Amino acid sequence: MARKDPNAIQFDVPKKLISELVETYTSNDRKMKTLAWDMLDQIRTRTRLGFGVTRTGKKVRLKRLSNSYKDQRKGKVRFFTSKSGHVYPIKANRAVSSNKELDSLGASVGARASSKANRKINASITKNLLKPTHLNKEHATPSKSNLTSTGSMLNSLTRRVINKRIFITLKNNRSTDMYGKPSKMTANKKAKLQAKAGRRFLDLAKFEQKLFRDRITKDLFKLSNRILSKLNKLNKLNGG
Amino acid sequence: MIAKQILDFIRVRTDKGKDKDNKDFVGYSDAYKRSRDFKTAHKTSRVNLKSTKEMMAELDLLRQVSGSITIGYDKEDIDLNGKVEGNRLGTYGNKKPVVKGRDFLGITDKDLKKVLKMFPLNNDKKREKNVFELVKAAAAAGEIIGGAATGTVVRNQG
Repeated sequence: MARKDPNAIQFDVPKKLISELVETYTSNDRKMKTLAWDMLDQIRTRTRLGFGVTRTGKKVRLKRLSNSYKDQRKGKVRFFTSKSGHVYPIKANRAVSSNKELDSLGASVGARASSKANRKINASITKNLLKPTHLNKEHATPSKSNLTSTGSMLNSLTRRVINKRIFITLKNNRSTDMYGKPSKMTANKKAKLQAKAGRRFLDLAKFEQKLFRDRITKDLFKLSNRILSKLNKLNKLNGG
Repeated sequence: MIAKQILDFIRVRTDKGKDKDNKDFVGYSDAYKRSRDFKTAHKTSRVNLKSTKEMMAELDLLRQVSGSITIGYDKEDIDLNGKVEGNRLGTYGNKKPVVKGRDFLGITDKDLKKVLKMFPLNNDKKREKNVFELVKAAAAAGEIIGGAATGTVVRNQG
C-alpha cells in the first residue's frame, strides 16, 4: 500500500500476491469444475433463449431462420438432394407424383402412387412423412432461432479442466436429424457452419465474463479472509 | 470498492426476490410461467430478474464524486435500458404500467450502513485491509477470467 496524496490512497498489490491467489483458486479442481459447468450452462441457456455472441463479445439475437426452413420445421415441406446434388422440395398437401419421390421419403411399397385414388391417400401419407418427428419438445419451436432442432448440438457441449484452464467444447459425436435419420454432421461441424451463417454462440459475452469475474472476486475475498483469520489465530497461539 | 459491495448487495437481494425496499417482487404471470423461456432459464416462482443474467451483470458504477456514487446502466445500451425500465416501472414495452413494477435499483439507509460497516471510517486498519483484499481478489479474478497465465478458455467457434 502506498500513500501518494492526503486525499487518496493507492493500493498496489504485489503481483506475487495476486499470482498466489490465482494459483490457490485454479488448483482447486472442484471449484474449477463447478465454474466450468456454470459457464457451460450459461452459454447453453443463453443460446436456447435465442442469443449469440459477436466476436467483440456483444450479446445479440441469433439470426432469424429462413422461411423455407421454418416451413420445413412445421412439416410443410422437406428437402432432398439428388445424386447429382440437385436439391428438390417435396411439399405437403399435394399428391406425390412419382414412386421415386415416395421412395426418397421412405414410404412403404403399398403407398405407391399407382392411381389417382391412391394419390389422395398418398397426400396424407406425405403429410405424415414430412413432419419432423425428432424436434426437441422442450426447447424447439418451428420459428424460434435458438440453435435447437433436435437439441443434440447444445446437449453435446462439454467442459474440461486441463492444466488449470477451462475448455468448453463440443463432443465430436453424430446424432440424428429432425426426422430421426442418422446425420453425417458432427456437433462441431454444425457449430462452425452456424457461425459462418452468423449464429456464433460458443464464447462468453462481455457481460458473462463480468458475471463470472464478480463471482470469483467474491469467492477470493472470502478465501483471503479465511486464510488471514487462520493466520491470525496461529499467530495468537504462537504468542505473536 | 464501496460501489462494488453495494452492487453485490443489490444482486444478492434481487436474487432473493426482494426489491429496493426489501419487499417481495410481484410474482411472474401464469403465461410467463408456462412459457418455454421460463423453463429454459431454469426459473422458479421466486422472482429474481435473471433470465440471461445480463441485467444484473451490467449493473455498474457510473459516477463517483467525493461522498457520492451513482450506479446504473450505460446510457448507450438502449435495449438493456428499456428492459430495466420495463422491470422497474412494470411497463414492459407499453406506455403505461401493465403490472406492478419490480424496482430493484436502490438501497435502504439501513442496508447501506450494513455495507459501509466493511469500511469503517474510525478504523483505518480494518478499512484498508478490506480494500486491499478486495483489490487483490478483483485482480486475481481478472487474471482467471482474462485467460492470462492460468485463464479460462472457451473454444472459439471461428
